[in-house]
Amino acid sequence: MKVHFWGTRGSLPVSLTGDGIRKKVFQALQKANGKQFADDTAISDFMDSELAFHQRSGFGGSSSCVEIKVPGQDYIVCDMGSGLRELGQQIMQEHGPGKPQTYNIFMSHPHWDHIMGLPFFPPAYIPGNKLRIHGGHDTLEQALRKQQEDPCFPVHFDFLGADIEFIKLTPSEPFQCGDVTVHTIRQPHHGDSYGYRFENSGKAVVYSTDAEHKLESEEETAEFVDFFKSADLLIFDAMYTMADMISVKEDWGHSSNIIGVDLCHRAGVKHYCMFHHEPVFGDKALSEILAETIRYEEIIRDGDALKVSSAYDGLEIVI
Amino acid sequence: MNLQEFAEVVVLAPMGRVDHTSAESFQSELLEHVGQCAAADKHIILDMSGIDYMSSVGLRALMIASKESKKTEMSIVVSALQPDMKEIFEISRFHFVFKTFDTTAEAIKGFSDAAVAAWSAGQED
Ligand SMILES: [Zn+2]
Ligand SMILES: [Zn+2]
Repeated sequence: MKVHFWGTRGSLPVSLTGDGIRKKVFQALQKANGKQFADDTAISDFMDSELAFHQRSGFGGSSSCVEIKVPGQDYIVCDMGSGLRELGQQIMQEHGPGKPQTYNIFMSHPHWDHIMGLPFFPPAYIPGNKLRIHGGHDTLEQALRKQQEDPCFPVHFDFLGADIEFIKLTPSEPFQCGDVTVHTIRQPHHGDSYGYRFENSGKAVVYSTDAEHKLESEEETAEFVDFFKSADLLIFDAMYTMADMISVKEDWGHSSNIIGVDLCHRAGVKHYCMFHHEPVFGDKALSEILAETIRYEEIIRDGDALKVSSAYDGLEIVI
Repeated sequence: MNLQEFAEVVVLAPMGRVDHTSAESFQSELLEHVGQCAAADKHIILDMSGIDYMSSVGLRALMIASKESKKTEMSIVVSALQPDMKEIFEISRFHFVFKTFDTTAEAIKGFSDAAVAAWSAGQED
């Protein structure tokens, strides 16, 4: 399996400003000052070794959209945030309009940042394509129709030419999507959200975003520890710092970076990937939070080491 | 957790690791002390020198204690964080939630002369 992150930002897409780009260029020039590069490879090597991630690159700003690639299987996509637009562009380049495809979409919930990409997903307009939209909410179709209604959007849902089907999933009832087994869990979030565990060939990837793990009851926490059990990769809503999450941002529906680490340790997860980044945080802040989370994992670790990373638009993880 | 009183100040010293296996008892004990201190018009210094580490459930207990204290006149401050715990406080941003002091002696200076005197007398014993 491979996991491709098309959108990793929470709540609202953001974009790097010209000023932000200028800062990166400035820092790169500062570091390169006086250096000679023999060829392009030398420049690339310098960037990779001498410049920090937030200086040479960045996290991107598209909202939630993650593709789970399983060889020989139809498309599997988690959420239709603004990152779906770029996936659509790539699909059009790859297949063009002539080769119909099936897209299995798994929706965490119908909040705006998780549905806004659909009207900008070209494959949805092409007859012959199939969109199978899975989720635990009864309101998914209603939400997707409403966002394409007057006066908010000019192209109505019925204009989408693909064959669109809605499939309701029930927690604790495993669902077969081709050769991939999908487990569903209901999560604490305003209006509920759903997390998914995708299993294939002995590997497991969990997509669990927009969930506020309050740690109030051990029973509820244990249910998630069980759902995450021994996962090869956990994609987790780590939007806030711990203090923010349980004070000023209490009941806002999101978790913190260190709660993710603690749950991973308990569940024996192998790779923890922070997701649904706070729009307020820039690339430098997100890099610092990643470094801090790695350090927290080191301090708190009692058994095997957990790999900790932070998702960015364009990241691909091989499981 | 160990408890010592110095005039209007109660020094609480929890011990060990606070994680999901121990957080529940840590929380109930801490909140009991918070309730008692609030009723007796006392303040709390949490002497953390005996805490090796604390995971998110433990921090949550501290936050609940802080919220409880804010309903009253009492204050809770934190002292003597070990290096790992100091880092955990910074990573979790709990250093913005609690006023922290390097030592309990430093923390006590923020309270009354009577508390400082009682503390000094205790140190000489
Ligand atoms: Zn969201
Ligand atoms: Zn949401």
